[in-house]
Amino acid sequence: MASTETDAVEAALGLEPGATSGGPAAGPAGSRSRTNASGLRRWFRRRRASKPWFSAFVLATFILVGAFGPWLAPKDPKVIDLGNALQPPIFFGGDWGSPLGTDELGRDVLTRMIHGARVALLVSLAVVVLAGIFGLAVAVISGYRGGRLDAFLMRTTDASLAFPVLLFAIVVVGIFGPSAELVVIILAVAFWPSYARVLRSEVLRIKTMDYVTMSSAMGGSSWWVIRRHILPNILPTLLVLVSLQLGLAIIAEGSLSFLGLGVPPPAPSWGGMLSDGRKYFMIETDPAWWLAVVPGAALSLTVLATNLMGDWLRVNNDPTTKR
Amino acid sequence: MLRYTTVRLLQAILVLWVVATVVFVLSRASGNIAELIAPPDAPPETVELIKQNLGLDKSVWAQYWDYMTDLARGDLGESFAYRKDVAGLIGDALPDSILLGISAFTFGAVFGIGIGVLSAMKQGGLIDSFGKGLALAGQSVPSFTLAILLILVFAVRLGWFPPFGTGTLKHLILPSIALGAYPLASLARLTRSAVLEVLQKDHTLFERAKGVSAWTLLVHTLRNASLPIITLAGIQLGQLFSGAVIVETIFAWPGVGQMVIQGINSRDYNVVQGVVLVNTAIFVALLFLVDVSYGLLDPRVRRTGRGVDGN
Repeated sequence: MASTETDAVEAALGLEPGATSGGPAAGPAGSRSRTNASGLRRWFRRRRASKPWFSAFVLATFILVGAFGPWLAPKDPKVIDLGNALQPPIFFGGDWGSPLGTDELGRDVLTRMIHGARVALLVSLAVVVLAGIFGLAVAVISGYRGGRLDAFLMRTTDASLAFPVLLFAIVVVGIFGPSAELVVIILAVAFWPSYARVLRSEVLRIKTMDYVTMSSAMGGSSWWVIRRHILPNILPTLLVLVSLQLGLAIIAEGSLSFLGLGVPPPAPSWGGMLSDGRKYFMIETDPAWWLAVVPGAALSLTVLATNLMGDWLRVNNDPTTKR
Repeated sequence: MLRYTTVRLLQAILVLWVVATVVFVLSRASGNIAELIAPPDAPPETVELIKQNLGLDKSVWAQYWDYMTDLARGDLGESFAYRKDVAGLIGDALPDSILLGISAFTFGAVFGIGIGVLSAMKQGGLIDSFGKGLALAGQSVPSFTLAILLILVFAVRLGWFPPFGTGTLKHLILPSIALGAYPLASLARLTRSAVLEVLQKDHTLFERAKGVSAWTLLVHTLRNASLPIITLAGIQLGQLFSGAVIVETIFAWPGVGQMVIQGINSRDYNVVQGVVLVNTAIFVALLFLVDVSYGLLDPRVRRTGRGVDGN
């Protein structure tokens, strides 16, 4: 009986979120009657089994909307309709024509939000992937080789970490003019040191493990050891980092767009929309708050979801973390 | 200790030199500065004259030498837009930036460390849950979003604070909260985990067993947990000055951050370059002070000569 129940919990862990329909708290009802030791164990299992539903939902929405945005959006993000400007959202005096209201040029906010999600998703993903690959490469080379190369690479990493990231990005984009590619490159340059630093210490830790020593003693080449032992073992840490950095990348992209240094207009971006929107609640007696609140809420929710997901991954990958 | 400090100082100077070089390369890679400064319909002779004035007709190495020797003397060049010394302009704007930075940092540090300590002391309690939520929110809401929401609620709707500008204490409050929220959140999280870690150590258990008062225990715990907290606080204070670019722009705060945005918009590269260098210098100086403070706080660091990682 006990073993089948444990199996069930473990099966639930392996399944995707949709399969355990009862939610995190839906453990077997008889769990309280168990003996103390097994009850504690079960409690821990259940804690681990509690999945980040909220983050998964928000992130899935973000990714789907970002991926299929142009086909989902009800209207054209660039069509100006001055007669229909500054319509409030539905339930605040607006109508279903523009559920999230319209901006100062009569453009549909919902449509622009959807297109903006695409920009945020593509830019932040590209940044995380580029920075991740480069940081990973540096970490593996540095940690595995050691010696002078390691010292040199780590000093470079430290120096890069000392850069005031945002300011640096602002200056480079300011000099070369805004474009999506430049934003990606500059943010990747700013973000790789964190990967290199954290992953290197992981490589150092794994390198001293007995199975790695055994593997090389039995004639495994460096490449073999890296591919078979090091990379799979730093994958969990990499995932946590990616998740947390995704949020930072979204904030950084938003900040640059907010300053007019991100993806150039008229392409909609959340940061840019926020920046445009702020002019319209300062002067009016009846402020058009939705122009700032909608993109602000979307940005915050998405970043919150990536942070929660990163935390969850961290706790569930690292048994030594105490909450 | 002397050797440790010297090594750190040399490293700080090296970082500054690298940043200065990168800025130099970038500014020269951006194309012909003389053509950018000259009016659009200027004759070639005018452009040529501007080039000579700026020393752009010399070889790259000679330009680099001039640039570095000027920097060493504290000469950041002249602003194209204001026809004034960049160092002087930055000097005028810096006090406002520092005021905002210190105010935001004080807000973040006092509440962040306070919430972190209380959360750890009463783990799982009401303050702990509240602190966790606050920390998560603080790390997730971008500063510009927070700034705009603060203006919308407290300036436009409630009218408690002015929406922008400077001059009174009231002007300082909203920008400080917007800028200090992120340091608050990250310091709260780190302090909580650092204090928890110390509380689980054997020496804490021993102290408890001895019946030491809660206050003494707190002091001893904090001192043991202080290294990562100070590291993060130093980094956050350094980041504040570059994060201030956005907050200063939103609140029309007359600091260095606003200057750099205006400099970019008017293509006033000497100003931009100057602000980047001054900011980096402040950041590097702070990191250096943090590193040195380790040595003073923790004898283990003094011997090995390597810092402790904040995260």
